[in-house]
Amino acid sequence: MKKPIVEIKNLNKSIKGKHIIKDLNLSFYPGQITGFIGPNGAGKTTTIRMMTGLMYPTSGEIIIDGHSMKNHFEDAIRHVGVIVENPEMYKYMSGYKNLQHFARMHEGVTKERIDEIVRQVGLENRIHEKVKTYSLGMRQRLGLAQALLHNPKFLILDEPTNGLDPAGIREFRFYLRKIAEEQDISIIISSHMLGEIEQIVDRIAIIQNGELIDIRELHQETISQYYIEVAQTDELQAIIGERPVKPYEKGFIIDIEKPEVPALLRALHEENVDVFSIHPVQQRLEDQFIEMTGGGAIDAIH
Amino acid sequence: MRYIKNEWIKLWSQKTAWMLTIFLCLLVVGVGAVTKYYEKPLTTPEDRRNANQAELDNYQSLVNDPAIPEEELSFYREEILKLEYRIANDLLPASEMGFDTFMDMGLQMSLALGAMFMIVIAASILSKEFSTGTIKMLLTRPVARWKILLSKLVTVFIFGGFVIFIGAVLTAILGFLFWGSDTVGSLTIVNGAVVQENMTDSYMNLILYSIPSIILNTLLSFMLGAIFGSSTLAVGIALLIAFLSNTILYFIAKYEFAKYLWFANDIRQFMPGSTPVIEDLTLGFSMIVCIVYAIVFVVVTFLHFQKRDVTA
Ligand SMILES: Nc1ncnc2c1ncn2[C@@H]1O[C@H](COP(=O)(O)OP(=O)(O)O)[C@@H](O)[C@H]1O
Ligand SMILES: [Mg+2]
Repeated sequence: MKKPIVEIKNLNKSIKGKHIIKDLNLSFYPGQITGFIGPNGAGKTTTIRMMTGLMYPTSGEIIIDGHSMKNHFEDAIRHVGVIVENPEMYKYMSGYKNLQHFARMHEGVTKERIDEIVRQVGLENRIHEKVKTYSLGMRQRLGLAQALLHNPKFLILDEPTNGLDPAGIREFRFYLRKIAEEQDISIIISSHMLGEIEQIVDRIAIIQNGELIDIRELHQETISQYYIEVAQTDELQAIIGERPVKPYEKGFIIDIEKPEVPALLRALHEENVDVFSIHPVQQRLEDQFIEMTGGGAIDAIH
Repeated sequence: MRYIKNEWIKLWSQKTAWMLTIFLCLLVVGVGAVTKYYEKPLTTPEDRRNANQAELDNYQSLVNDPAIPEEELSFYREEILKLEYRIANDLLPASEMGFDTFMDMGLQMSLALGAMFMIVIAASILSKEFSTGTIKMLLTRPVARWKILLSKLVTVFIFGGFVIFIGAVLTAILGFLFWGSDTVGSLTIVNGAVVQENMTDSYMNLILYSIPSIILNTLLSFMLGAIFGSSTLAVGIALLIAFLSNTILYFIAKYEFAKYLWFANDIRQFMPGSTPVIEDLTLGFSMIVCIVYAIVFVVVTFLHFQKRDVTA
């Protein structure tokens, strides 16, 4: 495993006697996209505010790129790009002036770099207009541009899909995947809706009530359930024998490993069973997530 | 430096800074134009001599009047000396507007309004970043918080200096256009002889003696803006204190603690020709009080900003 770019150690935060973040330990690695998932009020934004120096931990430590956030703030934050909640830009200036403004706060962001990032987020036609004329989607793009301006090694996005349409979300996923792979950036995306980000993340960290309750890597290839729809169901039953199987819509879901699938299809063919459809079933993370965090109560936990 | 540039650009990208500057310019032009329009010009040396002579005759008759008490006589005699000096040097009568008196008035206006504008900008330059949420974009950069705060404070002072400078230059240009080289002159009697004050010195005095209270009011407003996070409240309190300080002082001057308040130690009261509100104040004491308050305001502002959690 690569060396982590960010380490959070025993992080605690209390506000007005309320323990909001409880002993959080978490590391982030280059090239990896982590989903930071938890119901509203779980403490995602609070954790992110501490990772970016907006809030100070009550105890614990945050180390970014080898620098302690507390003692060497400027060095620690230098390689971080972030959008906390909604990107708030200076509405009375153009998008371009906003980017110039933030560029002045980093070392070595050239005019060429600004132009490049404007093109990458697809704002070149409107960048010289005032931000107050922008749609929510355009503001999100500008927010992404300011976060990526200085080529950060660690990108933090807090609920970034808020206000994006489905096409925008798809484009956004593609773009993040690309920069994570090409530039070896570590990305953390927080969301209260797993469904919106499960297709893009490599692993998820689940937080609830300020506690980290699960971290898991997602391996999309280890699917072990398939949906199959055939004309002769009795013959199918005979062929699959003892395997667990349950009826689902017009067919069945069977537990079967990927390497066994061709053999099954050959057997069906030999028995003259007509196969209409067979495809892998992802066990939906969303279901697991809801199971873990208590289903319908997710918005009302304190 | 780059951070000050950022603040400067943001300041002038908003309407407030423009409106305030334009307001001052319009006021200077307006006052100049109105004065010029209603004045009966004394353009020739004869006009000026006649006007001065008329006043001189008036004082002469007063001095010769036996009903006038002795203590007033010395005042009239001094006025007569000054009027004779005016006639000899072809100066305008003291009641007229000339280049120098207009310059003095314009400077006073620019300083008073400039001070007020600095209070307004100082209160809003930080709190506006909080109310719009842009503060989180600003503080998640590799720039320590104190540097951002300092760049904002410096920007307020540059803005104030700039506005006052614009007002002064505009006054000088208008004064020259309207009154040319006609001067009224400010005369004083020293050891029985008439002395004409050097105008440049008196402008410099006006500016120098005004600076401490401008700085203190700005720092106070900046501190209130940083603590309350609301520019309205900060502007309100700071302007109230700036405007009502004399009224407040009038009521509390009799208490001992009053002389330890910063607004009781306005350095302007030590300008030549003024007397302090609280009698036993000295320039040195007031300077020290001002400096102590300035340090307190700055330290409180920076400590508070450095320590606070930003949830905007
Ligand atoms: N400034 C604050 N004062 C008091 N409580 C706060 C403050 N900020 C956040 N909280 C509380 O902390 C918890 C976590 O909030 P937050 O981090 O915004 O959650 P999330 O981003 O996961 O929705 C919530 O219960 C919220 O009420
Ligand atoms: Mg949140």
